[in-house]
Parts: sequence; C-alpha cells; structure tokens
Amino acid sequence: MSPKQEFKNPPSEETSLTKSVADNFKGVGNLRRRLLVSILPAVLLPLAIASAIGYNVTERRAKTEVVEQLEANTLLASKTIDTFIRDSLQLTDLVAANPIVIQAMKASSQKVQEEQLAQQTIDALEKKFAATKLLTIDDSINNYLQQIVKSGQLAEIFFTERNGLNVAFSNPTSDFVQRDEGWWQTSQQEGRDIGEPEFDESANAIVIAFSRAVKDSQTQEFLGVIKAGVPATTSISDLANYLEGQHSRSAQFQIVDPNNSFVFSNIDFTDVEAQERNDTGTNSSQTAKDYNQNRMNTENVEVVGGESILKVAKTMIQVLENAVSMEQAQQSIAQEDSFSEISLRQEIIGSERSIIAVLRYQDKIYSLSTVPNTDLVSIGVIDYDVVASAGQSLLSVFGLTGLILGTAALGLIIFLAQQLSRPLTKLSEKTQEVASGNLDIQADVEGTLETRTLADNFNKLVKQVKESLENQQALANEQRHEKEQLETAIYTLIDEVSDATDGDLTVRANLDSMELSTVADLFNAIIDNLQEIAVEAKQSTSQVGSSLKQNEAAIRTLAEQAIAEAKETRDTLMSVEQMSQSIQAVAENANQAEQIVDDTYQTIVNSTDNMDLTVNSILNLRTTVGETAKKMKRLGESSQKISQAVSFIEEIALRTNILAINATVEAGRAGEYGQGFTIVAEQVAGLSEQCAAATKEIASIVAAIQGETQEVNQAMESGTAQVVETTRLVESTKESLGLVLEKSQEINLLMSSISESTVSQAKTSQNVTNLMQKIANLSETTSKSSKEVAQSIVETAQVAEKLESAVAQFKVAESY
Amino acid sequence: MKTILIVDDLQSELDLMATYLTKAGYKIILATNGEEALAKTLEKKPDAIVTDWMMPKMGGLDICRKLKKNPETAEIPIVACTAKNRDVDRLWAKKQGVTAYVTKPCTQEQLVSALQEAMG
Repeated sequence: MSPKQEFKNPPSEETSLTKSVADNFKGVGNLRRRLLVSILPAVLLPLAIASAIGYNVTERRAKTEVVEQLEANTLLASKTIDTFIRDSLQLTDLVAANPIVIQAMKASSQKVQEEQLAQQTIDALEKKFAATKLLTIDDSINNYLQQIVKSGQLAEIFFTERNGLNVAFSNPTSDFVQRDEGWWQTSQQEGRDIGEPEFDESANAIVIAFSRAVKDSQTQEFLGVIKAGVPATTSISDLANYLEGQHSRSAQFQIVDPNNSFVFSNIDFTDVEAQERNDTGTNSSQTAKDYNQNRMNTENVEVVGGESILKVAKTMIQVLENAVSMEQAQQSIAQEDSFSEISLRQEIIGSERSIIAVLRYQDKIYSLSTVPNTDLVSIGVIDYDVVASAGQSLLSVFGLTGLILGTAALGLIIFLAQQLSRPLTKLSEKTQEVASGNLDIQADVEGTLETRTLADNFNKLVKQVKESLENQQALANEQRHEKEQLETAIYTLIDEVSDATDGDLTVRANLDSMELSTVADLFNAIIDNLQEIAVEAKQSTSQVGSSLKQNEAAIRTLAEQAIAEAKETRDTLMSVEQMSQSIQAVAENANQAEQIVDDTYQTIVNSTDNMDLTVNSILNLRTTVGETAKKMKRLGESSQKISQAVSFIEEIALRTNILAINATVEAGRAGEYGQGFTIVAEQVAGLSEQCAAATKEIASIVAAIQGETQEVNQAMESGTAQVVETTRLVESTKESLGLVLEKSQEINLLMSSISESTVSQAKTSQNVTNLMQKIANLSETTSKSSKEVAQSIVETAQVAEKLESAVAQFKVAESY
Repeated sequence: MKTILIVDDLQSELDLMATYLTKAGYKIILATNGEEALAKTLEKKPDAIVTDWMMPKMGGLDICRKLKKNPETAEIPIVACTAKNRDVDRLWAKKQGVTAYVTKPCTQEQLVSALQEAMG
C-alpha cells in the first residue's frame, strides 16, 4: 500500500488587481451629478406631462362645451319653430270649432247646391263673384275674423265651403274659387297644410300660411277649409332674445327651407361682437334692440355655408322622410371633402323625431337640426377660432403652476444628492486605495445606515480577500509539488514499459504511484493481452504452416480429381442427351403404333358389321332352300298321281285293244256286213296301240321327272346342310372377330398407356438432361474452385510463413 | 461457514482485515502476493477474495483478470480493498471484473458490507 500523497501548494502568481479602477471610468459622472441627472427628469417630466394632460383635457372639455352649446341652441331654434307652428295650427282649430263658422259653411254649401254653382267653371264663378269675392256677404263673420286678426297678431284669415268657394275673410283675397289651389286640395285630402314661408309686404314680416279642413263633429262630413297667414316675427324675436342670454355670442342661427334655399329666419350675433369690440365702451349709445333689428333682417340673406350646407340639410330632410337611411346619409355627407369632424344622429322627443348633424366646414362649426312636422332645418354656425380660443386662457394657469413646482423640486433634489453622495465619495476613495494593492486599509463607518453597512461590509471583504489570497498561495504551492510528483511517476512508467514498443512483452509497469497505478494496470493488462495474442499467433502460424505442407499434395490430388470428375460428368451428360433423344423417338413410334392399332380396330368393327350382313343372307337362303324342297316334294307326289292315272289309261288301252280284237273277230263272223266294222275295229285297235304307246311315253317322262325330282331333293338336302354348315362357320368367324376386337381394344389401351409413358419419360429425360447440365456446370465450377483453393493454399502457406517470421519478433515470458 | 481469501503485501493490513472478517464469522485464508493468491484460489476454492490493488509484480487487478480467464475461478466474487479513491479507479476496477470496491482505511462494517454485496 502506497502512502497517501501530500497536497501541495501550486506556485502563486502576482495578482494584477492593483490597477486603478478610477482610470477606467473617466467618462462616468460622480454620484451627485448622476442623482441630479436621473432624478430631476424623473420629477420634472411627469410634472410637465401632468400639466400638459390637464391643460389638454380641460381645453377639450371647454371646446366640447362650446360645440354642445351651439348644438343645443340649434335644437332650441328648431323647437321654437315647432312650437310656433303648433300654436298657429291651434289658432285655426279654435276658429274651426266656432259654431258660427260651421253654420256659415253649411249654409253656403246649401246655397251652392241650390244654385248649382258647383257645376259651373272656375272662370265663370270668378267672373260672377268678381265684385265681392264672397259667396254671401255676412259682415258679422267678416268682422269676427278681422277681430281675430287684430288680437291674434295674424296677417289674414279666411275660409271656404266644401266646394272651395270663399265664405268669409278678414281681408279680401285675390281669388274667389280656392279649390284649384294646392293648399286647399292638400287640406281637403290630408286635413291640414302648412305653406312655405313668404315675405308679406303688407304685414312687413315673414308669413306662414296654415290651412285645415273643417269637419262636422258628429258626421265627420267635410264642410270646408280655413286658411290663416301667421307672421313669424314675434316668435323669432323671442328666440333671438333667449339665445342672446345663452352665451351664443359669435354665433349665427338660421331657419332655412332647403327646398328653395329660403332663409326663414336669420339671427346673427357675430356683428354684435365686432361692434362691441370696435366701440370699447366709448360710444354705446346704440342699444341692443337696434342690433336685434339688424340681425333679424332676412332680406337678401343667404344660407350660411352655401350650397354644401344646403345639401346636408336636404339629406337630413330625406332621412326624416325615410327616403334614405342614416348610414346612407352619413356616407353621402362624408363624400364632401371639405367636411370634417362629422357627426349625424337622431333624437326622439316625445313622438317627434329630429335629425341632428354637426360638422366642421371652412373653419366653422355647423350644427343642423330638422324642425319637426316641417321641411325646415335650423342651422347654427360658430367660427372655429371661437372654439379654439376657449382653451387659451387655461394655458397660462397650468404653465405657471408647473414652473413653481419644478423649481421647488429642483432645490430639494440638489440638497438630497449632496447629503447622499458625501460618505459614498469617501468610501469610494478607500476602495480605490485597496484596489491599488493596499489591503491594510479600513474604511470609516459613517453616514446613513446603508453607507455604514457598506463600509462595514467593505472592511470584512478586504479581510476575506487577504485571507483568501494567502490560502491561494499555499494551494498553488501544493499543486506545483503534486505536478512534479506526477511527472516523475510518468517518466518511471514510460521507462518501464517503453521496451514493449520493440516487441518485448515481458516488461511490467510498477503499481507504486497512487496517481498512475490505474494507468500502469491498464498497460499491464494490454501487455498481458498482447503477450497472449503473440503466443497464440506463434503457435497458430507454425500449425498452419505444417498442416499446409501436409495437406498440399492431398489438395492438389483433390483438384485433379475434381477436374476428372467434371469431364466424366460432361460425358454422362452427352449419354443422357442421346438417351433422351432415343426416348423421344420411341415416343413418336409409340404414337404411330397407336394410330395404326386405332385404324385396325376400326376395320375390325366394320368387318363384324359385314359378317352380320352375310349371316343374315345365308339364313334367308336357308329358308328359300327349305321352301324349294317342300315344293319339289309336292312335285314328286304329283308325278306319282300322274303315273297312277297313266297306268289306268294303259289298262283302258289294253281293254280297248282286246275289245277291238274281239270286234274284228265278231266282224269277221259277220262276213261282208262286218267288213266295215272290221276296219273300224282294226283302227280302234291301232288307236289303242297308239294310246298304249303314248301312255308308256308319259310313264317314262313321269319316271324321268320323278328321278330328277329325287335328284333335286337330294341336291336340296345337301344344299341345306351346306347352308347350316356355312351359318355355323360364319357364327364362329364372328365370335373370332369379337375376340379380335376385344384384343385390339386392349392393345389400343396398352398402346396409349405406352404413348403416355413415353411422353412422360421424354419429359423426365429432359429434366434429367437439365439436371445433368447443372451438375456439369457445378462440377466445372468445383473444378475451378478447387484449382483456386489449391492456389490460395499455396498463397496461405506463404502468408503463414511471413506471419511466423513477424510474430517471432515478440519476446514473451518463458511460462507461455 | 464461508471461506474468504485475503491478499495484501503488507502484513499489518492482512492482520487487520483478518481480524475484521474473523469477527464477522468468516473462515480466512491469507496470501501475500499474486502467485500465492492464484495457487491458493485453485487449491482451496474460497467463496470470495478480498485483495489489495497496488502490490509489486502481480497487482490485485492482475489476479482478477487471471481468475476471470479460468472457468473454474471465473465466478468467484472479488472485492478490491485499496487506498485509490477516484471515479476512474472504480470504473477501471469494475471493468476488470472487480465485484465490489472498498477504500482504505476502512471499518469492519464497510468491509463486511462490501463483501456481502459482492457475494450477493
């Protein structure tokens, strides 16, 4: 067991931390300046931003207020007009409710009916009533109407009966017949009509005509129409007075009929302001009422904003009539390039709907509002400068506040920065000294808690650094010593094992060194392994060498044998091929034989049929012969009967001859008288002799016939026997043929099986040939390979020899 | 009773380990070098071997390699007891067939525990 190695210090190196740090940060400002630079903006910037935002928000609110005021006033103007129209319509309602008026209307209608005035033309009627312009002159009603005009501040009032003919009026009208007038027709159909504002010279004011239909309260029967002209002056002047009190200075309001660009009312405060500015209190003799008159003058006044604003007003009227939607209106207004800050909305107050638009055009803010129940639009205008100036006064307030606060903050921050930075500056000087290498310095503990902690910690840190540096020095020394030991161990190890490089495998590394014993063991393991391998290689190579020498001859023989074998195989292949061809020929012959046997079989089948025919013919012949024999027998029997008849005739002829002789004898006794008789007897005797002769001839003929018949019978019998014999022979022949047929059938089968066998044999022989071909190829390859093997064995032997000499370099221990 | 072969070139170490293992109830065989250790292993067939690493001529791992090559002794568990205490040492020892590893100086418990670990 080796002793434990001492831990040795490595060589210490001089630290280069002593360089002055301050030199590296020349461009960086000190703490006081940094505090001022970083905190001042942090305080002043939010202050400035807060002031700016405050100013901005307040200014915007002031501007919005101005615009909202304008919008409210515009709406108010439109409401005022609305109220005016309502009041006016109520006035006509009041007149229509008067029973005197209704009575007069009914009476007039009665008169028209009676006089059939309704059928007459308008011209005729105008002519007829040109003087009075009234159907019936009733001063009481006319007076009543005139009184209403006076008290109700009306311009005029009159009414017609149901055919549109004047009944009564406050002032004479230009026409008598009113039914052709638009307002009259609208009133008759829709119940009421509001005419367009017109400037009436007699009333010296804008007059609006209100008409309404009068109906019977019970029957709802149409009775006539009342028309009243109402000057708008009073309500407008009220409006103007009201608006003046509503901070509407610098604003201008108009009530406009967009259809004919008619300015119904114009209230202008812009001049007032200018005037007041010019006067500056020196000459204020003119009263506000004078301005009122000025600003309410509608003569030669044009619509503010001109065509563009009129177009907007028209669009709003269309929206109110539901001709276009809000979205479409918004789009069509937005098309005008010179418009900006457009807002369009609708407001529903009670049952009435108003469209309100606000937009900026040519540095002016326009507010438009529709007047309910009419085609009028109220327009309010204010200069954008007025809006903008609303926030100006706020700017100075915010600016001054910001400045005071900023200055206060600046002073405070400078003071604080001074307080904070002083102890730190001192501490920083101490650290600089330490950094330059003086580790014996102590920092003063003073200032705030943080700076005190910092100084204290700094002192501790310096102490620790000092200790750490000393430790490091010791450690470095130890490491250096260790390194030297390790180097020595490595030299020893190299020295011990270096011989292995020259093939000496008997070397061993010592395991003395604690650090290198593992490496030494590794070397030992490797060298051991190498030694084993070398020994094995030596043994193997010598074995290979000797066994190669032993086997070389055998292998050569083997190669020769393989070549011979290949040749034999080739010969066999040729024989097999020949055999295969023979088998092919046999197959073909067998096929032909089969064909021939087939033909033979067919022939035999035909012969058997012919044989059958022959047998039948013979049997027929036999029958015919039998019948002929029977007929011959009958012929024999007939000739027997003939010979019996002939012998009878012969007897007769004999007796006749005796009679003739007796007669001759008798005739001869009779002498001369018997002479003739004798001649006759003699002739009869001759005849009988002739007859006897003929009979004898017949008998001989019959005998001859019988003899021939006998012969024929005999011949017949022998023929019959022959036929029978022949039949028997034919039958036997037939049987033999049958046998032949059977055999030939068997032969046929045999032949076809032979044919099949030869075909399969031919195939097999082909396969055998192929197989043999392969074997031949194989044996060819084998012979080649064995040649190569022989060659390579020779080469291997050479390699083994080389290897043996190479391994011989290794020096191994004896024990192996 | 299990038989343990202890191999070390220092007699003092041998004695110490022998005391430990006898106390723990093992039968002890001793060897002071590699040759002797191999011979005694073949002869006595111990159940386990505790060997020092750094010995002259034949080290502990040499013994280990030789025993592993012989099928008769290949299965015998081997405990390396050595002052070498680096990860690379333990790794190499394990690669060479050492079953358990204990560093010197060791207590009886450490040695017995390593031995038991080696014998499974």
